[in-house]
Amino acid sequence: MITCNDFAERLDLYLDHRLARDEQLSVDRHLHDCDACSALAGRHQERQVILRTAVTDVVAAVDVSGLWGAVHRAIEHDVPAKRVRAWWVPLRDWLRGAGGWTAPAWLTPLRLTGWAAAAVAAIVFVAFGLRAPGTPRVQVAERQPAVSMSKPGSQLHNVRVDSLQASEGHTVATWMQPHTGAQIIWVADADAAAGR
Amino acid sequence: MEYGDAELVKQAQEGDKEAFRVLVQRYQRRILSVVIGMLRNNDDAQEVVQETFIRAYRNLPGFKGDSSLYTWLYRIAVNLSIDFQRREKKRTVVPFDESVPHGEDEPAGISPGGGEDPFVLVRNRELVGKVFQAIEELTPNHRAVILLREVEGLSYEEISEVLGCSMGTVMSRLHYARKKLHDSLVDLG
Repeated sequence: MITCNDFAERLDLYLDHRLARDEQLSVDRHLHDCDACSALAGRHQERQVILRTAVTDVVAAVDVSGLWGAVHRAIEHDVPAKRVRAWWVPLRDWLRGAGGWTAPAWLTPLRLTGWAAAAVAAIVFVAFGLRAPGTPRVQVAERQPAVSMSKPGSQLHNVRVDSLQASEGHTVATWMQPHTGAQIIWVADADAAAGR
Repeated sequence: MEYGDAELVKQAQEGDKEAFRVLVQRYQRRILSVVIGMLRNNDDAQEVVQETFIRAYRNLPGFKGDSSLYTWLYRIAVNLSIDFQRREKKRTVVPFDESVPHGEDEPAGISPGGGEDPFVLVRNRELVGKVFQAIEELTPNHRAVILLREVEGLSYEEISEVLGCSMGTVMSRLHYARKKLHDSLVDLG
């Protein structure tokens, strides 16, 4: 007859089926009569099954089809082993290592690609958006030279003149049109500038 | 006709790469099981398995057949895994419970047959997480012992051959590792 302590000492051998036949029979009898030891043995056996099946599941999900090819290349050319990895794996690993942040396993290639595309679209949008307002100045000035040159008097009432140069016989003034941003260069002879 | 390991090893030693291919494909998943358990990262594990077979091929001329081929392969794989862990100090870990596939493609095993009871499903996932958390806390040597015994079903003698230690050491490490795993599951009932 064995005790609970005896069983605890033999637990590993029991789980690994390494007990001698007579010992095995004694343990079986004890487990039949002792609920606590029977529950203990059951929990260990359940844990064994969980570990085995969990690892098996993980391994079953791994694609090993490229393994022989990589091994063959290495032994054929006598070169060190090189990682056969998807393009996104180094990026994911880098993200995991950055700042000690551990990236979750759900960072899949599809999600990574989606985020990369969104980031590129945002950069393009911002780059073009910033350039757009600055360019029309010259274009407007080129498109509307007649306005600025032919009606200088009416333009001068509401604008700030940037420069005004008078020389013998004519005057040159420059200013910016407030609404369009066009640079206006006004050239007039001396009499027109004096309002005569 | 399927050749045995000894015959294939002999052919591979004579330069027959096709024979070596058969050996690689015969043992790749078994080696991967241990290495994945050791490293808990699928990409790293694949790299180590690849290196294991390359090392094996290069050292094949020195393989005398005193031990079985698979214990020899396990020894190379376990040593490379331990080296890899030492080298990759900043190695990141993918929790196994997140690596296990979900949904329709989930292989049979952890998911209960028929998948009827959501409570059982949730509890099993929690158990898997706890077991792997406990595995992660073991030293590489303890981890190797429990994986070789519980997952690969190697005998104490084979494990002592793989790890190059006595059977007493194997039994003591196994007892410790099992206790840690058991303790980690106690609160789940």
